[in-house]
Amino acid sequence: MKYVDEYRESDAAHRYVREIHLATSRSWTLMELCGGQTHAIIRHGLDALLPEKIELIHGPGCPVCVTPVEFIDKALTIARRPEVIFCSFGDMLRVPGSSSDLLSAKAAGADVRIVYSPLDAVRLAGQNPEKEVVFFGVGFETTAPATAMAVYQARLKGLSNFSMLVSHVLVPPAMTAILEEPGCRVQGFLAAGHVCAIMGWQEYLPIAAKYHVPVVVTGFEPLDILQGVLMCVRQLEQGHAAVENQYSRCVKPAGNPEARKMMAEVFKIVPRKWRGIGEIPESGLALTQKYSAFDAENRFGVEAVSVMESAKCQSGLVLQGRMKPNECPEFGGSCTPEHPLGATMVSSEGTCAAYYLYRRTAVMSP
Amino acid sequence: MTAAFVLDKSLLLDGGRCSLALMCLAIPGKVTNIYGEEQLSRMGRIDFGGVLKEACLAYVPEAQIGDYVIVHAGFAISRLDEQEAKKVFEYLKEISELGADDSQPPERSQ
Repeated sequence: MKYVDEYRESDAAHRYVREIHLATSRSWTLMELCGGQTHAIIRHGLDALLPEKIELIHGPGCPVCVTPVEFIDKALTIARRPEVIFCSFGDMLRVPGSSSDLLSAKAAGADVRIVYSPLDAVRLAGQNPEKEVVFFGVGFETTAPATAMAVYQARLKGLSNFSMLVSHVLVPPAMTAILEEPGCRVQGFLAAGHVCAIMGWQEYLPIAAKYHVPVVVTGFEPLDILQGVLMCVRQLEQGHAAVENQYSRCVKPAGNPEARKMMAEVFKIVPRKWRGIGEIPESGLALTQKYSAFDAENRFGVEAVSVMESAKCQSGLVLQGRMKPNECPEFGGSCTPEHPLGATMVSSEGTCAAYYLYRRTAVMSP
Repeated sequence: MTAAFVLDKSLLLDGGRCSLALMCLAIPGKVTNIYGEEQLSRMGRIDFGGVLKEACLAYVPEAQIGDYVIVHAGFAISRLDEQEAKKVFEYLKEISELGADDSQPPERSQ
C-alpha cells in the first residue's frame, strides 16, 4: 500500500537506528504525544532499538483516555432515553463511566450505534425524524473538523433532532500542563502529526521557546518515528529548542485552513477537565452561541453531572508520563482490556492497552 | 443498511482485537472518484489498498482523482505531498554526507 509500506522498510530503519546511536552522547527523555505513535512504538518494538540513554515516555494523546468519567455518565444518561439514537466512535463504548459503560447500556436495550463518520449520525437524524440523534463528539484537533462539519450540516439542513455531546480537547495546553508539573522529565516532544495536519506547527513555537524544549512534528510509521527521534536528539545534543517538521508529506506550516475555518465557525475554546489529570484552562472546545441549540448537554439537562474518579486507577500518572503501565500493581491482574479500570486500558490508543497487547509476555516472564 | 455501518477490517489493528473505529488514526488512501457540487458537500471514494470507502473531501479542495489523501473519521484531512514524502529517505543521505556533528536538520523554524 502506498505511503505505508515504504515507511516500514527495514534497511532504512536500521540506518536511522545507527544514526540515533551515533548522535546520542547523553541521556535524554522524549515524550511522544499521540497514542497512535505510542502504539506504533510498542507494536514495532522501536523503543528496544534505541540507545539505553534515550527514554520514550508516553503522553496524553489518547482522546478516549482523557475523556472525563462524567462525560461517559452524561452519555449513558442520554443514551438510555427511549427517544434517543446515541452514535459514537467504537472506541468509546467500553470506556467505564462511574457505574457502567455504553456497551452495557446497549446490551440492556439502549439504541447505541457505532459510526465511522460523524456525518453518518447526521444522515441518521434525517432518516429518523421521530428520534433524537445524539453524536458523542470526542477527540483532539484531528477529529474536531469532522464533528464541526456534522453540526454545521445539521444546522444547514434544519435538523432539529440532531445534537452533539461535545468533549473535544486540545494538545498545546496539555503540553504546557505537563511542562509546568513539578518534576517534569520531558526534554523534547514528538508532536502528533495528524493534529498538526489540521493546526499546523506554529502554535508550538511559543512552547519550544518558553520551556526550551525541541518539538518535532512526527508521523506514525516506524521510519517517521525513528526520524522524529533522531531530529529531536540532534537538537538536544546541540542545545537547540526549535520546532521541526518530520511529517512534511502531510503537515503544512499553517495546517489545513479549510478545516480550521470550520472549527472556528462551530467551536469556541473553553476550560476542560481531563481524565486522570484534572481541569486544564483553555484546553477544550465547546459549541459557540450560534450552534448552542445543538448542544446535547443542554437539550437533555445533563450539564451538572459530576463524579469522582476511581482511586485504584493510576491512569493520570500514566497519561502524564510519570508511570509506566507495567509499574501499576493492577496491570494485567485486576485491570485488563476485558475488564478495564480506566480508559488507558480500553482504548486502542491507550498506553496500558498497548503494553498489554504487545508487552504482556515480556512483562510476565521473570 | 448504509456502507457507513459496515465495519472495515482493514481499519482494525490486530484483526479487530483493539477497537472498532480508531480515533486519532488516519490512513492514507487514493482518491478514485469525486462527487458533490459544492465544496462543503464534496465527497470521494477512497481506495485503501483495495478496500473502498467514502470520505468527505470538503477540507482538501485541492485533491484530485489519483491523489493520495490522509483520512480520519470519514474526512480527508490532508493531501499527501509526493515530493515531501521522499524526505524521510533523503534526510538519511543528507546527514551521512554532512557528518553527524554540526549539520543543521532541514526545515528549522528558529
